[in-house]
Amino acid sequence: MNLFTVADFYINRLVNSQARSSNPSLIEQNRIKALILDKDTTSTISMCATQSELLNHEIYLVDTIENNNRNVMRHLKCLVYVKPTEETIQALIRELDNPRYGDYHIFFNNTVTKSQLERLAEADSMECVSKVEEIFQDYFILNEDLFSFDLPSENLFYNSLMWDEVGLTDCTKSLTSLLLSLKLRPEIRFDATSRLCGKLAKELSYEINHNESSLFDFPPMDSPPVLVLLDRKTDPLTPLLQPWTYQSMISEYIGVKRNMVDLSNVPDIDKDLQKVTLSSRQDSFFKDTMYLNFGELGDKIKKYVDNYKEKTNTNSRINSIEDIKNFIEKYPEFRKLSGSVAKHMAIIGELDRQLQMRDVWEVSEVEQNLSVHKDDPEDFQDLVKILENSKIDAYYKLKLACIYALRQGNDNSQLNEIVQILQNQPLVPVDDVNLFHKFRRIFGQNQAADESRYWERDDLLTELTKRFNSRMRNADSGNVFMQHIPKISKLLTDFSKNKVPKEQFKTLEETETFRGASASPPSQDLVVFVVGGVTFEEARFVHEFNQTMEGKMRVILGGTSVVSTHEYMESIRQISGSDI
Amino acid sequence: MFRDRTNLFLSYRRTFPHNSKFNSSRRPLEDPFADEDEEAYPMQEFGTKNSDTLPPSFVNLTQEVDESLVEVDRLMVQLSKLYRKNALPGFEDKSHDEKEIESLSFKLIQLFQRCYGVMKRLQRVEEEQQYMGHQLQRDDLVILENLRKRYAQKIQIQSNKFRVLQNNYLKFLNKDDSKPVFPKSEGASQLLLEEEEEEKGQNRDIEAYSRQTLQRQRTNNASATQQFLRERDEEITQLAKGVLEVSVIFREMQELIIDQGTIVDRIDYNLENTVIELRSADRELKGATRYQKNTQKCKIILLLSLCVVALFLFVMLKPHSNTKTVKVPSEGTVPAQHPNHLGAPSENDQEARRISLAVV
Repeated sequence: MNLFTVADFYINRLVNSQARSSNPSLIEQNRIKALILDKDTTSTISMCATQSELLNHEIYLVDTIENNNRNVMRHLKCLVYVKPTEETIQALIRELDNPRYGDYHIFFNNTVTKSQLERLAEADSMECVSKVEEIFQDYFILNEDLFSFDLPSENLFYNSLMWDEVGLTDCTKSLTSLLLSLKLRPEIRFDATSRLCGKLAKELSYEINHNESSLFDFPPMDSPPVLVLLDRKTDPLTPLLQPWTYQSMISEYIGVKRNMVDLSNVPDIDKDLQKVTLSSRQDSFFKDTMYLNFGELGDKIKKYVDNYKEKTNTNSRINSIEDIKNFIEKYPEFRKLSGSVAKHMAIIGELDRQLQMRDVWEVSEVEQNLSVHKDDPEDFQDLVKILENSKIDAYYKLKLACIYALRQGNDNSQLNEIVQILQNQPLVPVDDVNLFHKFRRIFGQNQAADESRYWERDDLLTELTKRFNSRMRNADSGNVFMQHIPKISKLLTDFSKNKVPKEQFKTLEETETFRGASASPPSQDLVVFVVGGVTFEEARFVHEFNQTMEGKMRVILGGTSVVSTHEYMESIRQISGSDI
Repeated sequence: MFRDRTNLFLSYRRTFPHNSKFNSSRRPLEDPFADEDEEAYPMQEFGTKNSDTLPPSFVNLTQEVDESLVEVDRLMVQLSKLYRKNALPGFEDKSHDEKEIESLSFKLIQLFQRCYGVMKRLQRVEEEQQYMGHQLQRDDLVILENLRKRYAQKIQIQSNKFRVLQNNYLKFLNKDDSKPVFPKSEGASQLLLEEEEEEKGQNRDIEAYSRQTLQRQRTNNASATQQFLRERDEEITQLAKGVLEVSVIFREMQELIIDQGTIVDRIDYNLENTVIELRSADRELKGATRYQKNTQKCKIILLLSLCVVALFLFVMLKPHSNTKTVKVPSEGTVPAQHPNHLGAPSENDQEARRISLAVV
């Protein structure tokens, strides 16, 4: 269930593709290949393969199908890797009508309908297509256990209760491709309080059981894999808190798009460092540090730089021919290291600058205290202090107020006091105060209804047992900035013990009830999908869970997108007031 | 998990009547595949002018590199075997092996130089943007550049292997020099001392004799080691030279290598970048046409100004020639005009008289 191995498998299929009929002669094997992508697959493939990997397989030309200025080159064998959308099918038909290359191998990254295939066949009057194949990778792989569809939430939903038609089909298709690529035919469980999840679950199960039932014909497993559909609304707290792990901080303060970090806004940045890639596959330092918090990260980067310095010192002492030879021998490796050090130093420097500039340390401490303790007058005092501090950005004030509202229920005189303070602040626009009211309206009832049920049903005793039984490594519990534990952690622990209540996480088929909660062993493969966006903070918990449960359970986390706090607040702002 | 849909596709394709003749008549020039069906003479088709079905000829250049690299691989295996054999301590004469090593590494260096030559040639092709008289297309250039990168990497990997191999051997040789020569002599002298002590009281004659022989042995030994050293030295310098040569190639290749893990290695970045390149080329083209238009204007301006100058000269010259032509006949015409001139005043006089009469 490592997503990268899945991706590798597909890329290998792609680059080593041979037509079945012809016996592969030597000339055929060494033939130069072209790879034609569309705008969706470009991102998909560049997140898991590199240019040099393609070059190693004689793919010397990469282009997009949208580009109409390609030259005619009949000597090339062409690999087409596209998403079966209407647009690209049209482009493909145009291409086949007047082929530019000698031999076409077409790969789709999701299921292609028969009518689409028929249209293609009709267009292929030159008979230059020799292979058509579906591989299932209609999603973006961020980490080995994190995927995203990169569908922004404003296009996905009409409002907080209704899916957009197109968004729903897109989401269902992508999710189907994920399940197919992992060879899972899961039992679908969804958050009973969320209508969005219910709808998606229905669509998905229809797709699995009726439309593509031949594809989902996998041998049954001892313990059925489970797909859990969650709604972001169930845990609105996590995406509101300032994150502290390396990966999530980059996404929060600098912004990372498909593994590319744009540093061009950083003052005095070196020209080579304006755009850098960060992939846990190619960058071993990033792989080690992506889940670490800022303090641990500081130690790591210090060691890394020391190591680098040591190497530069040995390199600067070149006295004999022996030294020169050593230097030349190690030079490529050294250059790689220096590039990596420069990259990470630039990123961490920028992070530190942003943290200082925006007083995030102070804000985050109060945030965390508010999210963990309930009704603590001291916390309230701190909150008021921050709200009245004119140095702090209005955005953080609004966010703090929202967090407080989330934690303290609805009718509280203190909330009114907060509104008063917010209104008195000259820097907080009226719009934001309205947003705060909206936030309270959306999550007020929601939270109150939820309170008594699943998530918060811990009295003292359960609290204690949870402490003991929780399979998370709570190494960070001493850290003031990482006190909050996302709800997903509790969910995972419960799944591992097979103690997830049916009424809270419904299954669709009533027939499956015979697999009673305690009868079957806990499922080994779990896919958690968060409608409305997942956070990197949650990805860290999933990663740690996978490490502690190694060999017993495997979890893959995904979401319609990956949200930072800004994106999440923005998505709430998008919800029009009448729809609540 | 994947699903092959080729069969379905083929069966769909069969249901549509694809008349290749119709197609070829519709697009006779663009369709080499339809020709293939029609003529059923594959050989003939192969030999026709359809040059775009063959890979561009610069690709053939890389075959040389491929061959060389295969050869390099083979030689390298041999070389490492020899090295290993030579590194083992032994008493038999190694000069034969050493010669073979020398020739092998010489061959290897030559092969690397050949590869390097091909790369240079490819680079020249790319810079000139044409090969054997053909102007290369944009996509050809992209392919060419990627081809160069790929082969640079291949050569890089092989040459790196070779250098490591040689370096290790060099290190061994250096160690070998210091180990067997110096410790041995030290040990010998120590032995000598011990022997001296032992034999002190025993036998003076033997002592003298042994000392003599030992001394002789030592001088012998010293001269032998000296010669040995010199030989070794030469060997080492030669090997080092080879290493340096290869590392020059290595460094040149380094410029081409994609840095893995950096932005340059991103597929989408490369895609976008080529788009930008194309745009810049487009812009340049537009600039060029503008310049060309400008030159046309310039030409017209030049022509006009030439005309002006010519006319000016003409005008400049004309009055000059006029005065001449006027001067020459003026002497002839003036007398002829005279009667006229004289007649006119008479008329004027008559009129004046008439006027005066009228006045009177």
